[in-house]
Amino acid sequence: MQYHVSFDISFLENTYNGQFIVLEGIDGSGKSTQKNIIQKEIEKKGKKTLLTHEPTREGHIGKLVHEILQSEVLIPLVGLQYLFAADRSVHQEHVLIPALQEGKTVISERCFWSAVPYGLADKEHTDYKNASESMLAAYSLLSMYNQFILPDKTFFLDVTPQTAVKRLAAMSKEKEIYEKKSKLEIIYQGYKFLLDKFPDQFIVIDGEASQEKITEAILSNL
Amino acid sequence: MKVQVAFTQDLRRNPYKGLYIAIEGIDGSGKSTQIKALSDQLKTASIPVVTIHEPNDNTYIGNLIRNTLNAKVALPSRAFQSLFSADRALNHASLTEPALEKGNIVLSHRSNWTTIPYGIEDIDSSFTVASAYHIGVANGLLSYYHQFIIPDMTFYLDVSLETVMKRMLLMKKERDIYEQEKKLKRVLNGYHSLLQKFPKEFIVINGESKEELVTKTILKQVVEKFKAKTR
Repeated sequence: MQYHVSFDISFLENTYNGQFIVLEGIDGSGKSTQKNIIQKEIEKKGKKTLLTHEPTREGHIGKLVHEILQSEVLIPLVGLQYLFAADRSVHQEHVLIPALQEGKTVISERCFWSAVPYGLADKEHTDYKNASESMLAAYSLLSMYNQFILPDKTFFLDVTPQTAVKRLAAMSKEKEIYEKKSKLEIIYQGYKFLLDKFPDQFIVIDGEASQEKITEAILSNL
Repeated sequence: MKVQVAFTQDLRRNPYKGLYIAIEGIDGSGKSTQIKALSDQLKTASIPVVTIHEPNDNTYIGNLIRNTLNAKVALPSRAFQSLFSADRALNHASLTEPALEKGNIVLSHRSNWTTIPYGIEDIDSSFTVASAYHIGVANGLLSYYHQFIIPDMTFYLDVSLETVMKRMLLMKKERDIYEQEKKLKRVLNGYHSLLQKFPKEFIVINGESKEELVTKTILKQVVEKFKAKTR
């Protein structure tokens, strides 16, 4: 029996005093580096800031997610997406909203948008050539994030998976489960898909440019 | 920003040779008692049975749910819903599906159907078809991201709020009985709407009749279905 499903997912506008800025991109795209530089630049202007990230790696849920990502604990990947949703929900209520209320500029590495490229990469048989199916899968993932606050600005740091892999190798840090090249490629395709479907929500930055250029490009958009 | 979602889909059916049975109902409706009695009788009849408890207190996510509760951390209710789904994902992959694959009867205390009445209770408290679907999609009932297998037969133990409150008072399970009653009332309404929306998916059992009679009624249907399936 077929069920006819219809509903709306609502994302909230940020109505607090503080500004909500998000950096998105595949692993190795330079989010952490830029996050720190941007923070210093904004603080120079006398604004208070909060640096944060999703997943949070803090609290009961955040720590568990972190252990799973380091492959210390095994869970089906779909289960991990549900945990991300739980972690993001805690992050919004306990970290993001209080900081925005205090008028802080919040700079977050990732937000709920990451659920689409990463969730679709976990799914078997994701084929972005089948756009309508991918779209329904993306909506299904986003349905976990009803009533989440939309960032004021979301910057997508655009680097190719090849560049990202080189950078990750140079950092020689332990690989998380999403940092293998084949995985990065499908995640990258997922971001391209997301940018195509929600063009108004992202500011695309050439992540292969010099660090200074990237910072400049971000700051000029704030 | 609003995103409008509309699609058509069936529930994900059990593809394995085993039989997937769930017992649903509000707290105090007699689920645990029935699971125990049914499991004992199936074993006596030499029918292979595996019992499952959702949420699973023996996994690290189930533990996390309990620890978080014990630590009295005010966790947003939607986070709880997602934790339950994560726990379910782990249970299905490690217990439910392997047991079904081997041809067992899986007898489950709750199932993914629980997500709707409890999700509504937590998130919305007003039951609309759209909000029910929304919670169902977010938690893998109907979804193009991931679907849990739904039970072949789901028995809903139908008991009134009054009966449940009496049972709880007897068990002295709840301290704040009044709060509990308000919550249970909303969950009960959630179940009623669920039964209306998915009438073919539930077998309603009068949970107020005698324990032995309830067991007998369910057992008969389970055994018949199992025999038909494994014939």
